[in-house]
Amino acid sequence: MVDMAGIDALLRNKKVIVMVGAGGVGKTTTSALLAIRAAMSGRRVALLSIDPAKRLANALGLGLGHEMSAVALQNPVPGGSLHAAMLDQKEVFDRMVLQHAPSEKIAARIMRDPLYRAASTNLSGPLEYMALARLQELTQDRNFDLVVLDTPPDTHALDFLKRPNVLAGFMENRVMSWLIKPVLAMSRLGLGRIIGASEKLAGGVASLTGFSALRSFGEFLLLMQEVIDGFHRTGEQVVATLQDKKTAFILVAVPSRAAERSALFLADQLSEMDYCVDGLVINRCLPTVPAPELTGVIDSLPAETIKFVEARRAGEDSVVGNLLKNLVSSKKKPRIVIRIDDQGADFHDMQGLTKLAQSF
Amino acid sequence: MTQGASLAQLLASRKLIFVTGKGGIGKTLVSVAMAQAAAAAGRSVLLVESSSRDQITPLFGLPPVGHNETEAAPKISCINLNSAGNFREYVSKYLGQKKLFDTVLSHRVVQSFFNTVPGLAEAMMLGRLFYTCDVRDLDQRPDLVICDSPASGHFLSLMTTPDAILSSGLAGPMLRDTQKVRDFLLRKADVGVIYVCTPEPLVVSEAIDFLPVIQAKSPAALCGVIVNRIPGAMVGEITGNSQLQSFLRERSDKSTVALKMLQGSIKQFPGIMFHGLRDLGFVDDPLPPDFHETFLTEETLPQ
Repeated sequence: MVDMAGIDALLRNKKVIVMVGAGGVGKTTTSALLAIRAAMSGRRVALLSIDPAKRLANALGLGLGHEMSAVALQNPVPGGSLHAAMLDQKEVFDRMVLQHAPSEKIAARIMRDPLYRAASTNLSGPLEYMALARLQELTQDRNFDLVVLDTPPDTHALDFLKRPNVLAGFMENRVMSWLIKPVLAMSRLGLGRIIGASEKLAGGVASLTGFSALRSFGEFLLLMQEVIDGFHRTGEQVVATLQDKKTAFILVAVPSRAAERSALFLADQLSEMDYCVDGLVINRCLPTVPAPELTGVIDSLPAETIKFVEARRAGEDSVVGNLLKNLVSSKKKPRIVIRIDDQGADFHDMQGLTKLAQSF
Repeated sequence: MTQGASLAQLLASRKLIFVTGKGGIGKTLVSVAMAQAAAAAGRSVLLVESSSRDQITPLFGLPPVGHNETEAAPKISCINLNSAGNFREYVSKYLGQKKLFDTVLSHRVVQSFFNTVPGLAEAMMLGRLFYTCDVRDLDQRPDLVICDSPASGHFLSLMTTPDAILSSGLAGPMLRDTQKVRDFLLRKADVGVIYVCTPEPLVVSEAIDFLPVIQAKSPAALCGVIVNRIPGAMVGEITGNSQLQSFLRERSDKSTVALKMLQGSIKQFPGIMFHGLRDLGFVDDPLPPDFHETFLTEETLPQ
């Protein structure tokens, strides 16, 4: 069930492709494959990935980084190019601190803070804003025809697509400033006079933690506030970009019940937001065998392997069937469905990735 | 090949087992099967996860339970912890400051403050596990808690939080309790980490990178490695040149190589359980109550 024409039309016509899916379904690799395939068809592609396995970055011959760097294509075609950036959470935060801190001294203090160091590898939210802000920049960049965005591996991930201008995290972060400021003020003024709710609030927080230690972290959150405020202004544009007809969403799954549940959940969320699921990619499928040869092939296998193949095949058909049935019934029918054979392999280099990008 | 304790011994002796590994390799399935096995051996088990949506309850054919401990099968309960719930219980039940919570800390703003300082959410999660395993009344205490934990990177953040808090200069009850939690996690006889992987070169090389990091940075000790989805076929058993046969042969050969790599690397952790599981091809849910009997049967590994 490989819809090559469909996927190639999509890669040719769209300006933005957003990949969504649960963790461990091969989303980042699939993003890279689509980006390579589009570049080999002559488009100028920007691939933006969040916190990927370092090995994919290695395979593409890239370091992690915020800036787009050129990827050397195996079989370049005239006009086609691929650039990629792999946003690394820690790097994104450090960069933000260095850029926005009022002084080097404060930047250094924040970066030494143990809470910041523990948190900055694990703090979601701001990274997604950064990715969306970067997406918006890239869609305006005349050097690129197509942006492929790989989203973080969590079902929370879609929260950031909901209403990028007023989403929950943003509202809460706005509130942060008046929550954190009194704490900072208290630590500076040595328990100065604070009134009303802030006092109780700061008092409650302080009685649990001792607020002075939260000072550096508070400073960091205030910085983030500025960054997010800046993004607020582009939020409207991002919504417009995501809802544009030239934007496609592709759902990535594998043949398992857990992945099926995630995919259906994600599809529901996308449709609630009026984003349309254009494609469904199912990774790690068993290679098919033409019907006339099938019996012979199966008979040649050891008994244990036959059990595996039969269970896997039946499960795969059931998962794909359920996905199609449910996506169709809720009018979210993806126009393109691709089953990618399980490679049982890893992608060590561009050669392997290119081969697969050409084959599927 | 078993070295160190067997899986059954771990399930019979530990109070808290963290299950971690790369995303999508079957952590939840392994956690639930282990819970079934421990329950079948007579222990009461609490299965814990902390996910945006319940991953465990569907395996029992149940609707989501969220942050409410719910019986899922005889001797097995499950809960999907969230940080707001952990925080509420910490302040009102454990610190006995219900009033503080109701008047101040239940405020949406304060809640979002605690969600935004991630170290705190993680501390609350570990604190809740400590409370469940070691503090709460004996008749309420499960014999074993199995925590279907976040994938490798986030798991490391979770486990390094106590040290980050202890060195951050925080004060007050949070500091005191973090110290207690850390002391609890250090108890090797009670608490352990099981790392789940699959016999694929990429996954195994990640495991080889990650295992020493757990050893070095996590207060809870690594007690076992489970290799899930081992192909049954041996080298040379699959012939023929169809795509399917080539795929199966390659899968089997790569798995043999990956397992050897892993076995070689695991020698640096003496006393670690090493347990292989057969690839069943596909697992449907809900799981049958005796699923663990076939699934957890140890797969023979190449010598």
